[in-house]
Amino acid sequence: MLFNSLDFAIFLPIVFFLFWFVANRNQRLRNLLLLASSYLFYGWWDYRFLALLAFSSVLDYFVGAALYREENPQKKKLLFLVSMGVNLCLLGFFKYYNFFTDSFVNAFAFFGQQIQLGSLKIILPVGISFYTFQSMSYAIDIYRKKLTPTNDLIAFLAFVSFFPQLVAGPIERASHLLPQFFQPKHFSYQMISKGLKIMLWGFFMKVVVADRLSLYVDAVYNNVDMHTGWSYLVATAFFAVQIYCDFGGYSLIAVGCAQLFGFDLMENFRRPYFSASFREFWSRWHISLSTWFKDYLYIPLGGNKVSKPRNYFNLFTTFVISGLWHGANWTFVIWGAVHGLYQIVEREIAGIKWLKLPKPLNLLFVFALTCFAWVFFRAATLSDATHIIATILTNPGASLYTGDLGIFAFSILAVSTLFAVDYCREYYPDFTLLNHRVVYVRFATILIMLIYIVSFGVFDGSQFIYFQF
Amino acid sequence: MKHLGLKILLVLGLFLVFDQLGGLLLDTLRDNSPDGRYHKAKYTLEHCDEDVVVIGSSRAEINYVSQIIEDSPGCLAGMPVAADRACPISGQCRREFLRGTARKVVILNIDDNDLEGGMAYEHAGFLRPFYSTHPEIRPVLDKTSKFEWLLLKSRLYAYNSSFYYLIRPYLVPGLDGKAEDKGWKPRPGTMDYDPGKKLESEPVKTPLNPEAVAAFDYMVDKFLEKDCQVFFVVSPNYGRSIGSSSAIEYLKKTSDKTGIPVFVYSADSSYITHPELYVDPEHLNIDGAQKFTRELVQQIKPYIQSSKQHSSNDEKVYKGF
Repeated sequence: MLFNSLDFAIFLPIVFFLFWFVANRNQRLRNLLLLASSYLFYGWWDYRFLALLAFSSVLDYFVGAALYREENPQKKKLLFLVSMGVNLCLLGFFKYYNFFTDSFVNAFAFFGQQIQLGSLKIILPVGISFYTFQSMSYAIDIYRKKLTPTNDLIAFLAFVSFFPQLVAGPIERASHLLPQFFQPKHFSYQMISKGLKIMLWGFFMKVVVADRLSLYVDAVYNNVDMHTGWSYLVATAFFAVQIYCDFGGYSLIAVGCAQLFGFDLMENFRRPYFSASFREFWSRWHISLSTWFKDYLYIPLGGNKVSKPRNYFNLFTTFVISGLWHGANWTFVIWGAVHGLYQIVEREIAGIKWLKLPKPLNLLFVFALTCFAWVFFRAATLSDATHIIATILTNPGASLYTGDLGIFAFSILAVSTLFAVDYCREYYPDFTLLNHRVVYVRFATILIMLIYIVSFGVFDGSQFIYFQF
Repeated sequence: MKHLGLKILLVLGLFLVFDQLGGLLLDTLRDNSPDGRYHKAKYTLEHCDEDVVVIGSSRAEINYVSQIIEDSPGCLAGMPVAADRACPISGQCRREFLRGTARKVVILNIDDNDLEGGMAYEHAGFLRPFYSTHPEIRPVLDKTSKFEWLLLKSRLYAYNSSFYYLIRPYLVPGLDGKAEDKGWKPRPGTMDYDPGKKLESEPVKTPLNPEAVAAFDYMVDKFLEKDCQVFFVVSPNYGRSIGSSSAIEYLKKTSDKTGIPVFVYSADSSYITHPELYVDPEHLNIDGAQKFTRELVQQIKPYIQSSKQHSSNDEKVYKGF
């Protein structure tokens, strides 16, 4: 079920009313309702994969309980490896099987050896990367004795499958989200109003900005060889904003939606293009994933408590794996590697005084280099990416493809609106029209946003980009 | 909960009021548009009774000069000729345009790959302001998005993809063609081109799309039923020589069955190697459109049936897209 669909517009109010009807009567029934709703939400896409979701969750529930009880370190380790192994095998099979077999075959072919490894027609279960990571973190935290397992299976299943964040995050930690399933819930107008406003801005980002920009970006990136360097440059900058609004918008809808049920999800994006360094960028971009990788990969590898070369290796490895998490394609691996290199170079030059730029220039510089990396992320193949970069650098051309001028003009309008809002939020956080102290201003803002969404939104049912990850 | 419900109802109520008022304002702008697509689109298809109609994508709008068709001595003499343009959308939408019409001469501009691709319903979005209540076109509009039937209840949404084109004729009069151009959209200027670029060879034939073919067949059958004289024309593209494609082969096959003449310009070297005739690789500029229309009129001339000649001096012009 997509957030920007009529199905969801019908589903959400029904679940909302049922939830608040049972909220304070029976906690178990409330969690059961959330679980059933979440499975319906997921099964709406393809009910067959509910079994996979249930299997992964139940496994980690029982492994978590056994890990907590087990005193023998070796048995504990074995249990832990079983959980990690099964989860990663499921993820590996559904997401990476064809990628690895194809890469294997190509690598052999490069050395003149022909081997046969058949590709499989595998459907990628929506959100598998998200719920697998969420479920894994539960087992890891118990193994590390940072978390006490729950003995309520229903609550745990509801935690893993909680529909607002099931298919595209934020990837929540059990220590933050799971206890909320046991807390009493009190209906509050302020809380619901806040959630609805967050959702409204999320829809704006998705429908007005991301989907509008995608029309131009797709026209350029799906027809490489046909455009000038300027067009690639504009399309890449547009894509940078598109993916931010697509994913950031989804995350906001998820956060707002959870708020309607009295749940607090973590902030996932914090105006990432106002970053003056790459370290800052990754503290603002997909925060739930970057902290996941930091806690469960970078730090276990040694983090920065090791020699400099080893620290750089840890950084680079973390970003390469993060790239691979985004998709089974070498373009994502290169995207991750480029960001890993950015981090290393940034740390290397951090002490050089003459390289320090004024903040606005730093923002531009970081944005430009982020866009460079986005080329790999968006391009269909590595050769497309290199062609686009080569064209931008060597042959910008004299003309700019604008496609349908209406789409282009409204793309510019959408980006400008987003920039103005994010600028205010960044530098004048107290200035907020949606939560203004004057009720008429709040109402007018909501009305204008609704009118803007209906008038300039794109409603062709396009999917959120991050569903594929 | 009650407080929340009241506030939501208040917001929705106000939204509906603004939606209606906004829609009214936009309808007024549309109805008073000085020229261009919006002016053309005011035409109600049920009352379309012109004698010559050109149907096709944007190339039908740009490549055919209405005045030349009208003024050709001896060619369509005695006929009150007007040009009609269909919008660049799917075949099914085109076919629905034709219900209730009885035209005499129909020029179908078919792109060399017109019957091979998908139906591209999303391109019909800009028709929303005009046809959201049209009994035949509305089902096509409903295919542009999953919940179009619901979204179109908003009057503002009907203009969702069209604001730019609605306002444009007010800012730049004549940009989408003047009323006296009778549906022709003249495109001045000459395209940039690479003198060293070689002519693109014939592409690999892609299979026909059965849905597009069915819509096309339906449209042709309807015209023949109404005793129209139909011509198939494949316009030229700069730098591409397409003498044969799945669509062109299908046109020829239909021609063999029905006797409809086919004129294929997509491999004509007097066009495809002359960048000075184009405003972009797919559209002729004013000089190109005039040359093309003159030649086409001469080609069509021998086929015009005397029985088709019309004595009326009705000068109505269908200002289609």
